[in-house]
Amino acid sequence: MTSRWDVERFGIGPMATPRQADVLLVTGYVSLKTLKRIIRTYEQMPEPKWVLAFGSCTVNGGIYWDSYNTITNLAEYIPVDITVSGCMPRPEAVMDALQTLMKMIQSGEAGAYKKYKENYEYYKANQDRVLKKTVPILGQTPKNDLEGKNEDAKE
Amino acid sequence: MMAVLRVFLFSLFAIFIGLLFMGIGRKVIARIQLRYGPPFYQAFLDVGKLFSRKSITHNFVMDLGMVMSLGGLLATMLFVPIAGHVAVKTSTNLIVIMYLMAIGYLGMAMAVAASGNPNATIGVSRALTMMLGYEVPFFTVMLGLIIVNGTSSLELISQSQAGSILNWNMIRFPLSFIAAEIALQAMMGEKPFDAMIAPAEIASGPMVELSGKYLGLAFLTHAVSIFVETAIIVNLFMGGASNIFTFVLKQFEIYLITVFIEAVFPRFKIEQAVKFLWTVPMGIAVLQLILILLK
Repeated sequence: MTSRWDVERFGIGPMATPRQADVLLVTGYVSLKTLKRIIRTYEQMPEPKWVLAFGSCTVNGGIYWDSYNTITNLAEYIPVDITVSGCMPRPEAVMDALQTLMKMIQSGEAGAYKKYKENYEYYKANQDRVLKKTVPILGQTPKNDLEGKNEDAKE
Repeated sequence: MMAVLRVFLFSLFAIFIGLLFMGIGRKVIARIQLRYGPPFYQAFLDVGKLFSRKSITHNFVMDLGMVMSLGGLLATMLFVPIAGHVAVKTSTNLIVIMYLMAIGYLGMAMAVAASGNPNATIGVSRALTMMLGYEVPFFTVMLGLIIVNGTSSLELISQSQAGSILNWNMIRFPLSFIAAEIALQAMMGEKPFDAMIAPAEIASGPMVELSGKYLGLAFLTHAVSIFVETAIIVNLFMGGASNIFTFVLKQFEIYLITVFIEAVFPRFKIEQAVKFLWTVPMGIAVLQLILILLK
């Protein structure tokens, strides 16, 4: 968030690594290649953790609703706490969402990361179903990048 | 029993003042950049939040290193006179301080090297290289002051400047003060010399694998290091103080200078930073040393 809107006044700031992060902002459409990275980042974050899905693309695909390599609903693959609709949402909307998320955390509503542990099979099945498409058809043997990186979530 | 209580109180005081300075520093930077900025108590909230989070450890050495870095800096703090009060009385504390201060950074190096992240290793190697860079000019400055005063006791050096403002080493040896200020900027890891942290480049360097409580400990370590380093400068150049309030105010002035520089400067590459530190502040410090020796 730029100096004009100054998100730091609410005590929010960007962190350089998932280990230090509380909230994961998924900003914009999620291609299959990005999804792999998002899952990996999400699983590296220490608990408690929250996800903010940003823009229409993460809710229903937006203008990429019929694309062959873009997912349409992020909430099927990782648990989403709060979504901001719009294409693009205004910075005020994002700040409002972050403050709403803070209130939800205070009241105990926001706990989607617990859902991820409870329903891991559901999320994993969804992830595998789409990530299968990223395996190259020709050439080398299929290799699942996500294997061996899911230990954090299973704990 | 009293000694333990003293140590505990001094540590709490240093952490409190350091966190307060960090919060105010963030606010000042925000105002310079025409932002509103976080509240001044933001650093306390951050530390509170970090200590309440789940944290990921990699091995025993990482736990030990984090505690060692905080412990090393707290131990340094015990030898620094704060407005006439000092937790541990010695006659040659300047040398002890400089010796102990390295332990904090070595502890941090040990902890993050154990985490096994390549970004962290790059960050730590940069931090230790930077240490080589700023310690040489800073030691030269200290050597000059030790020669002038004939003692390496920080208390005696600060007492020798009592009286008027004209007796301050800042006025008597302005070149030394400038060299020490530049070295201090590097010592705190603030902007022109923050190549070891560099969030956009090596993902905040040493802190890359620190989550929850570990990051909280790193925050506290930084807070204590701010307190110790500004306290050394106040004692060396601004004549200490008669009461704690004046002392903290003087520390805050020194911290504000570094924050102002931090707010407007971009980053040196590590080799540029060391080259700069070994030429400009080193040259100034050596010049002052020659002037002192000729006198």
